[in-house]
Amino acid sequence: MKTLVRNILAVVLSLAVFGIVVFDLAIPEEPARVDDSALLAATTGAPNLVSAVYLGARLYDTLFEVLVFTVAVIGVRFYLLRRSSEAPSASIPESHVLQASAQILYPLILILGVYLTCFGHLSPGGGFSGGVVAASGLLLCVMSIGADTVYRRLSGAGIERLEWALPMLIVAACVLPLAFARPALSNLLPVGRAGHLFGSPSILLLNVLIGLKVLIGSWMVLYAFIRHRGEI
Amino acid sequence: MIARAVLLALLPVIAGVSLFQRRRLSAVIGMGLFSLVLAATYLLHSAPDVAVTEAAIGAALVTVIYVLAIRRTGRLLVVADEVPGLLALEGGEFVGIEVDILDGFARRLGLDLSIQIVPHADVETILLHGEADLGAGGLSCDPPATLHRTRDHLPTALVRLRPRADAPEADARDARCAYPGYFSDLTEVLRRRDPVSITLDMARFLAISRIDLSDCNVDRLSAPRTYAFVAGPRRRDLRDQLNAYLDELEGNGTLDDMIRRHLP
Repeated sequence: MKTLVRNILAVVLSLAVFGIVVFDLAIPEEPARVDDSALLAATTGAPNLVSAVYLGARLYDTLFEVLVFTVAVIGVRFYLLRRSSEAPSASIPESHVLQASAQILYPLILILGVYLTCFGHLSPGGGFSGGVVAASGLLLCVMSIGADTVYRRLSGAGIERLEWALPMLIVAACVLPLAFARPALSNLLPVGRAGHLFGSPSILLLNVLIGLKVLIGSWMVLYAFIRHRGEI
Repeated sequence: MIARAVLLALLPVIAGVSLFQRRRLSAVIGMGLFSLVLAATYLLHSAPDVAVTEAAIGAALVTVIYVLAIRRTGRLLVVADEVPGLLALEGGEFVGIEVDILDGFARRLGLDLSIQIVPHADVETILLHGEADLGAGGLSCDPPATLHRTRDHLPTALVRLRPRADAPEADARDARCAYPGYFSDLTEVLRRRDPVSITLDMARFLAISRIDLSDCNVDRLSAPRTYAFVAGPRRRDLRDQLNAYLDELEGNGTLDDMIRRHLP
């Protein structure tokens, strides 16, 4: 049953990515211009032009970047976490100074990661850097309470299922405009008032999805390294 | 403008410095610093998005992954129990002949020396499980065949302590240095005058000889012994390198200096 669901999901994902390529070519559209900054900000509602480019006009590139990242994480997980069932290497306790300072710092770093992700369309940042910053925060969390505790809590929160759901959601956000007779990879949600947090909801949505994806993916990679190289 | 030029000029300098670091940890920190300066350069060139990503990935995440990777490989992990004069904790620092030797050897290999105090009886077990690189702390007996013993660096002898009531035993040639737990606890046991039957090497025996041992029979076992290090099962290369280093120390007289300094 589980395998069947997984296979169906894989087929849907491939078809969706394939559909983007085919339908995007089938629906003739003006090529999105990235040299006119006023037009770009108006169509996406994002004052941060970098976000407007990579999550608006050039979403196509970003989509495949996310897929490449997903494949990389799958590779690390496959080779490191599944490779051996031998007992994890003995843990080396962390110094108290590091533990105490990590405990103070990690909530702040996590919040900074959330901020960078959510305000990516207004100021420098975005899903990729915000996700990595939040992953560094998780790393500090690991230093203060231990890798296995963090892993257990995150697994309890269903992080693995979310990790598999996120690429699907990102692809869905790219494909869904087709259902409203608009080209794939265009704005899914209507543009609001420029310069506000919800001024460009589609970029905000993509940033949050990508940020979560990068956070969970980086955490999986880090955890694989920790398991096979000793405690942080 | 000046700040940009200074940062740009700093980049190759930092890269070069971290390239020529012998300690791997210093090289990794140098790379993190490089990323940080690079991020500042991006910022001054009006690319804050790239700067944020560079700082998050280059300075934080990649540095941590490297530190994780060299955590095991960048260290020379030595397990030993304390032996006064050879390897002992004094004021939070390890001192002794073996510490000096291992310190120089680790520096020669570009590794960080990390010494963990474990019970003397567990040193060989830990090495057999591959959880440490070298065993030290006054190892004076032949290890199991799968472990690699280095050449000797100091002669010693074994001394056996028995409760006075016990009958005298024959001088066993295969006797091993054996006592329960840590050496630091052993002095407590002897002070309490518990009846124990233990075998100690000369350095440890000299360290406890200040304690009143009138309750014990003290026999010096006649078979001569020497102190050496022991390398793990698959670390024949490490044994050979350490042997070469010890030969060198003996050749230029440094070993004698160390012995004079620590064992007056």
